[in-house]
Amino acid sequence: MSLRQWSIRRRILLVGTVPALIVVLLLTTYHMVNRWSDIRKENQSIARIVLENIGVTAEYPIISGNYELLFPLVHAALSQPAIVSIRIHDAAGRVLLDNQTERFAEVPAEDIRYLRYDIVRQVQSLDEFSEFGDGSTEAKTLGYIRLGMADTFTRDREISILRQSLLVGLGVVLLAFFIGRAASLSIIPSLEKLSLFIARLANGNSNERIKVDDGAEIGHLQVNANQLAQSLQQAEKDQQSYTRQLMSEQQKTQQASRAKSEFLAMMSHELRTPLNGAIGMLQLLDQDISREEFNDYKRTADQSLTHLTQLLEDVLVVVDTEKNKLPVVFKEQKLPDVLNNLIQDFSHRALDKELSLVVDYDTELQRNAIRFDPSLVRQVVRHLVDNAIKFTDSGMVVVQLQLVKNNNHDWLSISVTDTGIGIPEDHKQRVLEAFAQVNSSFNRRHAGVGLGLTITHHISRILGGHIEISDGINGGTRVLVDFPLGHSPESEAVEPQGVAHGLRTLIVEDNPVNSKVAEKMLLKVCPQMQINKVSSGEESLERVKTQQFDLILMDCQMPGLDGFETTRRLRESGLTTPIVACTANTTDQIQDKCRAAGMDDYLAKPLKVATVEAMVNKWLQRTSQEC
Amino acid sequence: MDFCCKDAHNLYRWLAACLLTCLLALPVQADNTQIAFVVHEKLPSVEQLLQKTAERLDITAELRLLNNPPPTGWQSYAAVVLVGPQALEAWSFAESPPAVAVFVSRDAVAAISSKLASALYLEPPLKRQIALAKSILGADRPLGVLMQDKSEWKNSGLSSLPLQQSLVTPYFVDQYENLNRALLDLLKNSHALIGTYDTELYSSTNIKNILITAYRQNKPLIGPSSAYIKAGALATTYSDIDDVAHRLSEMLLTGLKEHVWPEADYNPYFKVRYNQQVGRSLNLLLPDAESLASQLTKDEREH
Repeated sequence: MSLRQWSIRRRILLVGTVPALIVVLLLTTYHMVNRWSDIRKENQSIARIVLENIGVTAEYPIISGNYELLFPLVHAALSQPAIVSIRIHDAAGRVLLDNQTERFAEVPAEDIRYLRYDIVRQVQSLDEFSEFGDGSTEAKTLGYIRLGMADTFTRDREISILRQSLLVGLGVVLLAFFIGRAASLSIIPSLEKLSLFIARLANGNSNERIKVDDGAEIGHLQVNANQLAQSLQQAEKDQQSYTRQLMSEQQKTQQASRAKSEFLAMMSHELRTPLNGAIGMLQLLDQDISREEFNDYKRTADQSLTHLTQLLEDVLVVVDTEKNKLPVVFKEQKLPDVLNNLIQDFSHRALDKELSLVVDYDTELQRNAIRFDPSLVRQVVRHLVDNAIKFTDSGMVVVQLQLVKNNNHDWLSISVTDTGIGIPEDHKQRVLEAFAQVNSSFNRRHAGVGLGLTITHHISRILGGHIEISDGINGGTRVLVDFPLGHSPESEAVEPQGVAHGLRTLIVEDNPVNSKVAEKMLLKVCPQMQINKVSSGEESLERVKTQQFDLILMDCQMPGLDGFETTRRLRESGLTTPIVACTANTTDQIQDKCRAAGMDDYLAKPLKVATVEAMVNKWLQRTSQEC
Repeated sequence: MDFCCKDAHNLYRWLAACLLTCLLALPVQADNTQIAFVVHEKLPSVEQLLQKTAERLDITAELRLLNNPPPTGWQSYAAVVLVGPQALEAWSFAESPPAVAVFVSRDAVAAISSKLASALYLEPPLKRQIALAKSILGADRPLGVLMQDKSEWKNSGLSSLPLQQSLVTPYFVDQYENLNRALLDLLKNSHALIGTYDTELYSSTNIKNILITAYRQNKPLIGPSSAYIKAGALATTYSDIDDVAHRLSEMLLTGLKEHVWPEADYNPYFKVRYNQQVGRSLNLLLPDAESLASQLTKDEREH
């Protein structure tokens, strides 16, 4: 197992004990070696002293043969543990004295080291010249001492030194061990607590905090762990809130998706109703019928198709709403002119439900033309009134239209009040959201797409205005929409070209049905008009070269050269004749695209007599004589 | 003519030079008193002796080693002084000027005394030592002399005196098992051991034994010479270099001037020397050395 896998306790003990052990071993060894060498030196020195002493003392006994004189010294020497035997020889090698310790027999022979010491006598030379101070001394060997030394008995001393040293060393190592243990005990519980705390943190207990009871690194660790816990807690809270938000969003999305599905299902039903009306009536027209019946059928078919158109318009608006964009086209018109047809329609419906519909224009609106997007305003009014009539079973619907001055700016305020079922307080915001009807069953009972308020809300927002839903008279609903009106720009006032001859119009359209509808409508508006038809862009380019026109109706989608490209080429050739786009595409980009190609205006398909008339009036400055 | 004149002139010059040389050489030739001190090796004591003797005689003397004779031969000296037994033994007396031996014992001289002009014995005479012993210990104390054998005793010059009178008893080593036995016997009966200058008996090997044995018995050793004082003898009479130079110069003076060489003899000039430590150890009260020496000299002269 590598050191890294060891517990801190073991590592600290290792760090504490091993150096102590090494130091103790080194010191003990050093100490013992020193002591042993001291003992050896001491023995040697004792041996030397003994030998010198005996050597000096032995001189006389050897000469005199009085060896007893040496006994005290020899016995004293033998009392030294290192000295085991003393033998004195004369110069010839004869043994004069031989003494051993009592324990000599115990000493193994190979343990005994013998030291030889010559007993030397310094004698003065006594010749003739020494009388006069020229004498010298000479050494004479009388014999020698053979000293037996053995470490057998000093070994006991050495072993006892070893034992003592090891005992002391063991004590030091144990002390180091206990110190290391104490050190580990001061660190490990804190770390264990921290570890447990972090483990609990990992399990999600971020509410807990650890007590900061340590300093330095562990203290910092504790503080940091607490900060970690706090961050985790915060993150958890944030996550919860995000999750909640996400779930609510998801719910909303699911709801919207469900509403959309229901809307689509309903839409097919809604679309079939006017289609059925129109087709049925048109079939009846084929039969032999009276004038009165014809008018009735025609009106019903007309209404059905109008209804269908409105339905499609609504759907397109809703699609735009989804994209949060809506093309706005300001026009200068009198408001009652725009709304009259609509109001008339509603009057019929109100009459059928035995409701009274009151429309109140303020005087300024009746008198002056204002600048607004007639299509959008019409939609707003239609939806509001339609809703009011739809949800009112008895009583009345009051429509108030006012011009309000606000910050030097004209605002149009449209207020529709009914005496119907009203909208519960908590649903007032939701009804403004697309496809978020109160519920489907509610929808079933009150037939309709259920997008009225949503569309209204969207339009008012696009126009920079507000919508406000409040309680009306007798529990009914009052919806107030207001938005600023546009300024009157000069650019809009296109200079109509003076036309002295009969009006000539070129229709560029690949579809013969559409071509025919356009021709018939133009003739309806202006029966005197000379109408030329071509079926492709290339053809129109050719025709323009040979003929002059006052107006060109250009279909946008055509095989070969499309309307945009054709217009571009016409403009490049220097043609200034007004070119009006005629397209089924009503997206917001189409207007910009038309202008970019050089077109002056556009008509949305399906064409309506009213819009065609307005267009002709605008671009041809028509006189009654010419038509 | 010119040639003759030149020759005559040269002749005068030659004659003048010869005369001058003769005049210069005359005192040396006339006073032929150059002396050689012959020794086997250079020793400070011999140099001192040479110097002191030369001073006393006011003559020139030089030190010559035995193996290094002068180129002109030994005969160029008026006399030779043979210093030490080695020089004495090695000396060939053929073609030799008168030879005087110093630093030699009586025994060494005895063998060749006839060839020597004269000799000065190294050791003090036994009588003088006995006189010294008596002066220190008292005249009535019995004294012992250790000798190898009886012949030695006969040569000592004491044998003629009655033993009781001198209170000196000789002990002959050859009559005992060994030296120690003789010594113990002697010490048993004597108050002091008088040492004789017998380098064999009182050898450096024996002297310690003799001294220790004697002091065990609380008996002092007197003599045999100055060198033994250092070894542990109590007292001795001795002649130092001054004394030797004194006597030698007298002998040389007599010999060279009067051509009569004195007989070989002991040195009449001597001093007394003690080993104070031994005296203290033996609890002996020692008289003043100088006065004792002059007393002893005086006594000797009277006799």
